[in-house]
Amino acid sequence: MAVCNSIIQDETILTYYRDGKDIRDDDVEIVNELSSIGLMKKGISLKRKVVTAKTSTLGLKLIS
Amino acid sequence: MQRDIICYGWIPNLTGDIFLMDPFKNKKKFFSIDQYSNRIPVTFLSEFGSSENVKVRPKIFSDNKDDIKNENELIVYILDKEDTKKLVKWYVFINSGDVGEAYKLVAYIDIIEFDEKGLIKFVAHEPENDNSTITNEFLNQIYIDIRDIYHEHTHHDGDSDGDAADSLIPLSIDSKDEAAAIKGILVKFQTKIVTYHKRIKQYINVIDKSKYITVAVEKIRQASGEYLYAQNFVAFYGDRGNINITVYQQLFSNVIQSMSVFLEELNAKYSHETSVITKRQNKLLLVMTIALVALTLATIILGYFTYIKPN
Repeated sequence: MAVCNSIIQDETILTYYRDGKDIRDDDVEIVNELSSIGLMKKGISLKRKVVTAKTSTLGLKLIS
Repeated sequence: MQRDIICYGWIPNLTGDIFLMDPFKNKKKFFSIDQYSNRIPVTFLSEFGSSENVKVRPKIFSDNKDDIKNENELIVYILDKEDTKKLVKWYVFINSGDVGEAYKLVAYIDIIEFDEKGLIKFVAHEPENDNSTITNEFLNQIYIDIRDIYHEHTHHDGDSDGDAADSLIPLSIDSKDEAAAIKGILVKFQTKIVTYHKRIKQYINVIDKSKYITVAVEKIRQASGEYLYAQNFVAFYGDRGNINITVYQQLFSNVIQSMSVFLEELNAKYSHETSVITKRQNKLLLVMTIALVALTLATIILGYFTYIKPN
């Protein structure tokens, strides 16, 4: 079976947040899902009061 | 108006005693307050008192690389005077932006209960005139920081920065009581069953891509580990949460079993893929041997006509 759309969507997100960025409103749901299984990690800027996200080491393996 | 938010969290553990070892003895991770006294506001220094039960750790909560240059935090841990393995207060200060200026307090928490099996109840406080700091995500980050101090990540790897993976957050925010919080934490474990199954199945179904096999194996290991923790949580706190312990133990046991099935499927598929690759290689080897034989024959024939046949 070829790579399904859902995996492609995950990989697009993992690539976008590879180096760490503020979370875009549209990405909140998928970032939460990917974080919940350890493919990403979330953080917070206490100065700017913004939620951030970064692809985890395992997530990077998927987009290598 | 100042807001106080009550949270319950569970430090995942298999031993049933998270205070078996003293996590604050790690000198590479925790520093003396004396080393940071020029950055902490004076009023807090006198409040913190003796340096024996105060530890400090610098940390950056943000993952945005642009924040790393101009944003960093100091966490101050106040430990129980009688039992210095036990955390009783947690403060976070942030740099004001001006060189040489003291940091300012962002928020602090009081730990109300912290039992040896890992359940922690804390109240998070915001400084006066600021009711926008303590968001759910910030509470998650506070919990993760405390979890990482006590929990050794034996079932999943840390990320490249050395922080724990963000996947295991059994935290219940603003629950009305302990029983509701225990149920809330169980729901968090249950919700992930679907996410893990969906992703692992997709990865197993992708053929000829070793990276998906690697990630699937890692996810199976991680999920199985988390559900072992879930079983322990049920055993430790099922009574206090008024839940049917047998039902939940069975539920998580079934999930662990289904992870084993995934692993078997993966092994079968991997063996099949390996045998397909071996067959392909054998076929290629056969073709190359035939070609080599043909080439040798052609060389012999050509040699015959070139050097022997001229007459």
